[in-house]
Amino acid sequence: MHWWKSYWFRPAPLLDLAVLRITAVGLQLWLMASDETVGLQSVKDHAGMPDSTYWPLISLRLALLPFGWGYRPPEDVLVALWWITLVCGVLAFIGFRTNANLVVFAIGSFVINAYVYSFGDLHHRQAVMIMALAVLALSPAGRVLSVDAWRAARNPAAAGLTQPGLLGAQDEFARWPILLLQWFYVLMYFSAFVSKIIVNGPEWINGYTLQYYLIRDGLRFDSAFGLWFAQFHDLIKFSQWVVIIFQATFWVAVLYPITRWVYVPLGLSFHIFILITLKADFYQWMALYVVFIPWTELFRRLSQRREAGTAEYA
Amino acid sequence: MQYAPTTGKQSMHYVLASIVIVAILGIQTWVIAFNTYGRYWPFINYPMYSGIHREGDRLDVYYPVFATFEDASEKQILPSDLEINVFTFQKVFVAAILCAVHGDKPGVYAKRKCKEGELSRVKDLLKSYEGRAGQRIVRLRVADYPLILSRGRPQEVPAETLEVLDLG
Repeated sequence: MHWWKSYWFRPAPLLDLAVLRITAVGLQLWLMASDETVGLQSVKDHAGMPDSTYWPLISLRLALLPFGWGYRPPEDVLVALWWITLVCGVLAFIGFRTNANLVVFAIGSFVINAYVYSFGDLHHRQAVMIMALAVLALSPAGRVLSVDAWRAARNPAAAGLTQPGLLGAQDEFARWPILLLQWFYVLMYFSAFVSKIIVNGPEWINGYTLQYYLIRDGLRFDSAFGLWFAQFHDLIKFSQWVVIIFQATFWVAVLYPITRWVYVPLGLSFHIFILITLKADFYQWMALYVVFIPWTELFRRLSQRREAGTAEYA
Repeated sequence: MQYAPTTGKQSMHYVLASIVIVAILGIQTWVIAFNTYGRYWPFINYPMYSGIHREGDRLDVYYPVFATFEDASEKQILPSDLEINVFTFQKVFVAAILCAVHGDKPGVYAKRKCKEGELSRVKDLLKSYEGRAGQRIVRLRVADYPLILSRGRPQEVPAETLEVLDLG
């Protein structure tokens, strides 16, 4: 199984993982604070919904199994869980006892989210965030850019870093969470492609389909830009081709990193486009694109360029 | 590439991480292959905007719902009246009305599986609204949205009643 170990567990920069931790935890905290689905008011509103509208997801039933199959937590328990999750999230964000706080934050975020989604209204944006938080909790995500790292630096013998310095710090368990999320993106996009073309058929690319969604969501969510764009049938048909090709071939971006120069900007543009036109806010998908950017390499080049610039002036 | 010798603790860590990798990617692939939708969230498939639409399709912006009160007056019910968002309004409330009309069997327009007790679900969701209105609702009428898709701008058409549910 040498290939397996060399693919998933090759030493990789800890900084890339820390960037993922800060981005994922930071966004989830912002979503909690801004009352997007997982906000406190949203939790309270759902707690007030009639019992007859509560259809607990299987994963929530399993998580709450010790309290009984189909148990519905009362509002005060949910509110307490929300606050505990928030506090642990802040501590995970700054990297204080990172793994322990990430575990609580991931579990709390999962339960809150699963509860809110147990009322017949489930959306696609949050699943990848739950996956990201779960794998971060099992990784050395707090080894740099964290209070833990700062405390460890005061006691170098216990630091455990394979190489000194922020850009040089590596670990064999720093690569798999990032790779796993990259492949998760491939599966999400491939699923979207399969649903459109394999399940429903190639007629999906007829111009009318996307036009329909632009008008429907333009009227539903008051998107003037979406309604304006909906007039251009041929341009919409072309956009549908681009979407299909992008979703079907996203795996190329994982296998051939050079192609990310095309796939990452295209993917971000795609999500920004649907945010503006359809008011579909896939912030989680956009933010977690950080897994496709080699941050350590980027910062190293920037720092080399700055050093070269300083030397020229000296 | 040369690796440092692995300790027992590290070996355990490799095994655990490998199990997590295989489990997450394996379950996600299975969910996509068997099209389970949201049943196993957070492992779900992603059929967003995948339904095919053609010229002449009725635009499903939302199904307007009209309530007839005891005094025979009729008023449209909006999601904000029930303190729910547009998605819950469509997927839970309107779908429950459409299912209840057919005795919890799938109706033509309900876009989810009908479950037991759809009528009581409708009544539960209306309770606080009826309290504020100060009278009971005796009938609900679900209409379709008065627009159809065309190549240029959408065309206005008369709204048609899809279903009527008597609440007794």
